[in-house]
Amino acid sequence: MSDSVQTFLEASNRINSRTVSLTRFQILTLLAYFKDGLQYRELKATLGISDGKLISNLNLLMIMHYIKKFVVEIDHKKLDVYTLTKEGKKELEKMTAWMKLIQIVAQHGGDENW
Amino acid sequence: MVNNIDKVIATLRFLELKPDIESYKWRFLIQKTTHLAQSLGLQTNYYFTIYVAGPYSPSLAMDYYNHRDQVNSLQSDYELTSSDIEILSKIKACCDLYHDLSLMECTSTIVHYMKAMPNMKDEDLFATVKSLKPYLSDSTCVIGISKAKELLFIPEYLTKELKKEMDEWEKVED
Repeated sequence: MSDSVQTFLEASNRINSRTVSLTRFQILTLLAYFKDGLQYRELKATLGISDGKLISNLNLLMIMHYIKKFVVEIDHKKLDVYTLTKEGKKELEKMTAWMKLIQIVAQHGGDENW
Repeated sequence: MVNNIDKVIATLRFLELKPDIESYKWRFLIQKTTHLAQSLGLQTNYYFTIYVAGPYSPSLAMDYYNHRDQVNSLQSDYELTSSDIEILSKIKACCDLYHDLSLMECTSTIVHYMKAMPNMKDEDLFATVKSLKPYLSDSTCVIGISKAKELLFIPEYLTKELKKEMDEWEKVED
């Protein structure tokens, strides 16, 4: 048990704590699924948060080089589209591995026979 | 064995589209076109999610990224069947969808719901699409419902009485 806890604690130190927010985690996960990228308006409609909150989260992810933005013209409108970078993908992989460790540690916490 | 992507390429070729995988707009159109064709009966078996940027298939995206040269040059060994041509002709007749991407997005979303829930009323379709994609205009949603009905229309439903009535309406419009 202590080994798993130790592994979990060590892995926690490798996680970028600025990524660990519900909104930022949702954005990274959605961008991993939608490989072609997501329009700002699609993210806004899906996450249901204010423009200020969405823009600040997107900007922070861009500063960390986890996502990038490009502009496309659709129906004569210029739209911002976001995609996941290689760094973003790596960070997301680290986080999913960390979540698996959480599951292991949490599930066996009350099991004396484990 | 014919791959799904070969059928997609044959579809694009039939529709006289000239895709460029590097372009977001073209990837968007390939996703929506493939979804429409599959919904109308073309035998590809991609899973599409309706949410966020839907209809969207990550496995279709993987296919066109892995075969980008083949897609860009429209190379496919797949011969469309008469049934495929019938399906794709319906999409070709709605060529305005390719000049209005919001309408394409709306129509493919409505086709998804009409296939999944054939008894869904127009007002419910409208409300569902608006809640999923609030950035689409009301007029786009109304036209999208009409386009979806046009695409899913089965000629056998066109009875003599209905045809006569439609002809009379057309005369009035002229």
